[in-house]
Amino acid sequence: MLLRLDFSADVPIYMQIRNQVVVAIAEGKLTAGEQLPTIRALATEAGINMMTVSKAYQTLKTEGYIATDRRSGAVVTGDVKRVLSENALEYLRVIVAEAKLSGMSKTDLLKLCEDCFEASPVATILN
Amino acid sequence: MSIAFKLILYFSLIIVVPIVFVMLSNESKPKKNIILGVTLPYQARTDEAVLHICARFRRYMRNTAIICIASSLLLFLLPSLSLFLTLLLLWLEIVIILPYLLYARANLALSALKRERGWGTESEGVLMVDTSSVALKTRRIGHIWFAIPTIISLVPAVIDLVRGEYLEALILSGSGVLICGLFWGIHGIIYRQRAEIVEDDSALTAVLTRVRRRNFGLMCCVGSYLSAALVLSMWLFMESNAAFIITTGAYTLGIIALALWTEMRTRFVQQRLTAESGKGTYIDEDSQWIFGLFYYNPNDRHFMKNDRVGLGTTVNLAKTSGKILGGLCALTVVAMPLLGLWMMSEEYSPPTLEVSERLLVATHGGTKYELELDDVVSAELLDELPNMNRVAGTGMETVLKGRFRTADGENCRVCLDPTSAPFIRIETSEGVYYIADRDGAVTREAFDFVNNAVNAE
Repeated sequence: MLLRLDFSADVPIYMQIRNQVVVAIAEGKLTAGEQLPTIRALATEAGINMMTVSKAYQTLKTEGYIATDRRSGAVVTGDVKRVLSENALEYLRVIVAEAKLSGMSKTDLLKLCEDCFEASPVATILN
Repeated sequence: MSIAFKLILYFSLIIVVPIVFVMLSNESKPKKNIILGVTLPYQARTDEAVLHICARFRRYMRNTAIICIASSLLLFLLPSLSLFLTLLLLWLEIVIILPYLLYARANLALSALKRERGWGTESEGVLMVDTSSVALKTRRIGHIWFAIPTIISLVPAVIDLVRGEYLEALILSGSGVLICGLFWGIHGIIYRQRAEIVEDDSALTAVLTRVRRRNFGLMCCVGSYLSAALVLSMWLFMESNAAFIITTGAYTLGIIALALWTEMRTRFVQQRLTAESGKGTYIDEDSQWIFGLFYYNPNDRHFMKNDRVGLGTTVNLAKTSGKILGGLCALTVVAMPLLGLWMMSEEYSPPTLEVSERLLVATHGGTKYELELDDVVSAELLDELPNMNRVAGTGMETVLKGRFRTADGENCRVCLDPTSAPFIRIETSEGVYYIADRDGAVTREAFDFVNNAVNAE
């Protein structure tokens, strides 16, 4: 997968890594058992701090998207928790609030969500 | 001798012209979706305006190269070696800078066209990382293959250390170990460089990265063996000037041929692998490259960065260390003619002899030999110098100074103008000296003074 790190964005780098890995898993670009780079290798390649990568991996591990092993590094796991993370829920609340403030109806918002859901093909790992 | 030296200097420097011009002209062919330092989509390769800019750039480069080479021949009309060298270095500076100016001009024209056609996909401050290629384990050349030439380079120092005459061999071996170590270190660095990402295709990224690292690694490895071979041959044929010229010439040619072959081979593979690239998603980092030549990315913590095409490496000018190294490189290029000026001062300032109460002083430039008359064992006035080879020092048509060794194997220190006889050979408790003033009368006067002092004792 191709990680796109935007240094001028408001979203912290570790969160960008976390989000893009989650999206890649959902889109099937990363499959169960696939290896992710080690913390050191990814930090060296991207020219970022190892702590940043470590934080991203730790978040992904807590959420169940990856498993880390001292020998094999980080591996994408098929054992994803069937609940939304606190971060995602927080984003969802903000999106709903923005939709309400912009005068969008509940039906239109649900339609938009449906479109987004369809546009992002969920991999077998999540089905 | 002078014309031979001029020819050697000329041919060792003029080789830069075809290398720089051919390399830069080659950048007008698409590799990794990049033409003349500008990332373009696939359809741009057949665009009339793009083809026109590329053709014009190649034409300018060809004509400039011809003018540069033709103008360099005029330098042979100069009688003085140091003046020849000064102007040759100045010419070299122009020859190095000029093609890059043409390149920057073509880069700007192509960038403007890119904006006009709306081909840009770049977004500032964005860094792309291919996780799959980073996760791949890479097989590198084993350390043992670099350790062998390093050990070979040490052979002269070890053998001569046993014999008891080790200074020259130590200098030779030290230089060899330094060069081999440099190749060894560079080999390590290239495996820490970023992957070669062109588009959203991890397999392509992995192959391009592997090709680059493998080729660069092999070049370093072969380069260190060539260096070890140079050390050995220089040591074996230390007494012969001809052998010295032949071995260093062969080494220089070998290293240049190796670097060119590796570079062109890598470029060919990059061109072939990315021949169909740029049709879909592709990586565009143009905003991080000034004129397509200088890398400037404050968000990249890397100090060194792969050149966009081929094997070369550049520095990140956004980092302080990059600015310092870039500045030093620029300063070196600008200061090159100063070497010629220094040689002029060496060539035209005469060696002098001065006699004080108990001291004989031979001076030339920064070199100064002070001989106490009490230490002098014998003195001899010579009309001809014995055949001698330079060990460390200066050997010009009008100046010989430093450490030399005669054909009889006598180690000596020299400070004189070989065209101004007579010369004084002085043997002291510290060694043998060949000294002279450019004015023969002063030399004779100094000899008489030393001779009288020795005989009086």
